[in-house]
Amino acid sequence: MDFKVESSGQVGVLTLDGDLTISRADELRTALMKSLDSVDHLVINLDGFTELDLSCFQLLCSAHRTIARQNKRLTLAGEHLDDFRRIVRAAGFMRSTGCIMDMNKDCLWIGGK
Amino acid sequence: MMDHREVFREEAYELLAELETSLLELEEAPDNMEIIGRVFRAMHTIKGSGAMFGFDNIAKFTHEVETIFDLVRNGRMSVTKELINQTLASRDQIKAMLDASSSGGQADLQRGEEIISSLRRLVPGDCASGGQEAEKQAVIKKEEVTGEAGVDEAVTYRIRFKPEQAIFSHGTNPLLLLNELRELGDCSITAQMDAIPMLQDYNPELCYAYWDIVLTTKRDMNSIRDVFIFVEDDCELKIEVIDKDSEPREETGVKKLGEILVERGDVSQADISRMLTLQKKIGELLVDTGVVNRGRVEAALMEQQHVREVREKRQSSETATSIRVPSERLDSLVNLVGELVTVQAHLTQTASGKNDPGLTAIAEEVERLTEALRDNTMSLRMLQIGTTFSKFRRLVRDLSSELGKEIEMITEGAETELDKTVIEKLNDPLVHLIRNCIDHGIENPEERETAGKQRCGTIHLSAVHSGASVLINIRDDGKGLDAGALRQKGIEKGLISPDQEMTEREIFSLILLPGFSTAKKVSNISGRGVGMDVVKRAIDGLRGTIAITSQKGIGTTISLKLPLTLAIIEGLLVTIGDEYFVFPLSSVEECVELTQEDVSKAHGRHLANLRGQIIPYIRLREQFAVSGRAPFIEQIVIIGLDGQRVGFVVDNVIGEHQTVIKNLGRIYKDIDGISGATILGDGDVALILDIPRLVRMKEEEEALTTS
Repeated sequence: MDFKVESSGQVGVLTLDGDLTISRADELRTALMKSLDSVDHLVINLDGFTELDLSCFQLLCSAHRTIARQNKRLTLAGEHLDDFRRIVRAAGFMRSTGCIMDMNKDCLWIGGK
Repeated sequence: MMDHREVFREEAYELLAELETSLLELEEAPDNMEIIGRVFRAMHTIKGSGAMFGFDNIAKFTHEVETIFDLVRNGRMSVTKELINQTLASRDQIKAMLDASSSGGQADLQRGEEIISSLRRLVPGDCASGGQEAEKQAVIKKEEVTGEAGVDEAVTYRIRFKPEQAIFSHGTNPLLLLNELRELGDCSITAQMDAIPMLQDYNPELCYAYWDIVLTTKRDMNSIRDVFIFVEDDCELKIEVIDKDSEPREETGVKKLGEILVERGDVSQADISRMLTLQKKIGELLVDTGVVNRGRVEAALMEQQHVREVREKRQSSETATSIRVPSERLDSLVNLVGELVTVQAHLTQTASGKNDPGLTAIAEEVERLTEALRDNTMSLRMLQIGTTFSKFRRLVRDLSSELGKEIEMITEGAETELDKTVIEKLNDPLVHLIRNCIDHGIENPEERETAGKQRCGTIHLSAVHSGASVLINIRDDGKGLDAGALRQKGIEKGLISPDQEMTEREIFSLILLPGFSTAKKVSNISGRGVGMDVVKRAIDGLRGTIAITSQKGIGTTISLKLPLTLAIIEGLLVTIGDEYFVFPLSSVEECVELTQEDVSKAHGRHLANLRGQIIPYIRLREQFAVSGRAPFIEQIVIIGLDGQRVGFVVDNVIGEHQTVIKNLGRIYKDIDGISGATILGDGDVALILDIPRLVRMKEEEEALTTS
């Protein structure tokens, strides 16, 4: 897990790697809370993940809601987002429109192939 | 055994034809959801079975097109001419890929990509993610039904699965349960996330999400409960049946208010559509007013979509009540029935000679059954001509836009049935005739307006049964044939002499001669002077006739008269000496006697006086060089041919005969005046006369002797 803030100080990239499962949920939550406090736009890079479970989706969704309420942004990045979305889709998390808290219209569960 | 890939190919060609017809219909009625459904289903099936049989490129391409059409089906995109154009182009591309797959070649992939990107450009901006949405759904639903045990019919269930928040602590992963459900059947899953709190209140040990699932499966409710058996006490589980195969549909409920107003003519469909776009969807209203959260609406929409797809799938499987039989098997059945008819004739003949009432009764029973069997078998080979007609719609559409003409095609009698072979052989001649209508017949919109006609020309294609024949008319309201110009051209080409007197009908028939074309410029559509004579030859080959009527400035009608079948005909059996001959009964008008006295009155000319009308006749005894002397009283069989009457002199007329047509072997196949043969009850062979050819031969002979 690695967190870098770009020189502008506005955008931070949080790289999540390894197993993103319930066993690390507490660690993930702390990392998310810390990093979204310091930037306006948090980019989560998912290139290094090996496993994902429901607890991770819930956390990401919660983080997105929290950050949207603070008028900031959270987006996902990575070259293997398709794999990520495939798992998300199987869990029924995909949406055609975001929830009521999706102020910036960038719900994590929309889009992808 | 037919290769599976071959079966797919055959089915795909049928689906493509269906797709084309539906698209053309859709162009006329862009709001018709039923047609949109048909288009979608055709593509869906091509995609599905394409993928199953390893036609991956076809499946992939069709999938792209289908995704876009899904937006249309869900009312998120409207049907435009450009959409139809591009979808027709996609249909052609799929066909090209199919063709290439059988010849081992490669279809133009570049072209496919072009089509897809132009289709994508048509997608309205706010639906861009919707297309992907549809795609996602399609992928989720691809799960195969594995277990078939349980109830026989597919039932759709609505499942609400809400694990208690502490479920993780029991070591349960809810996602695995979802995977198990998916193995039961066709499954759509929506997670509900409304209970997920902000990060500061978030407890990583808890499960906040719950699920709404719609599952179509042949398993019973207990099998579904079994999936949740270990978490039963730790979750809220609700399973309800929402759709069943056997349940009557309730879709045809009362009409919507808008539909009634449109029917009464109080408002137009366009007004309704406009109002509907202003109106917010019920889901949006509910979400906006906070009555329900978006996730629930999303789940309900998913359920609606799921049930719709299940019903559509069921409907398409219900309609598949026919079976596919290779046409060779049908042909061999027809042959066998032909043999049977011959044997039955023999039996009847033998029985009548034996004077044994028991045998006669059996012979009569066999005759009755054979007739029924024959009619039944022939009807198996009958196809509706509509399939051919619908091909021409595309032809008219494409050619008229290419030539900048406005042409509408109206068809009538598409349900008229004709023998499969006749329909197949009719395709090319009809294409020629319709091309001619488009190219030479119908004028440019400007010319039409100057002539006081509507800008849009009409081609009227109709088919109707008439006795043992089918009449096909191709009528256009174009500029008509110019008898003067045709005559002039005929003289120039040396086909007729300048002083020859001709009826209008005869002049029009000139266009059926080889090398005759009046078009001033040759286009790629017609005008090379091949075509009409090819048409004529093809129709002759089908034992049919062509008649042309036309009025200058008003239009032209080409009438084709074709026999229903080529396998068995009603014949008139006659004898000359010891030889048997058969006339096709459909062209026989009547039979009269010819006495020596009549012959002497005509002073050696072959003319008979039939109730005041002079009719030329041909002596078949001379024509076929039958030896022996003619009887004192001969018979003339009067034949109607292209509006003329011609007599054929024979010794005796025996009567009607069920004629099973047999081809003469390779050696005899080019004999003039004979089109085939049949076997009589006693084993004798009777030759079937080719009437038009016999008359033409005689005319040519006369022309030689007089010139």
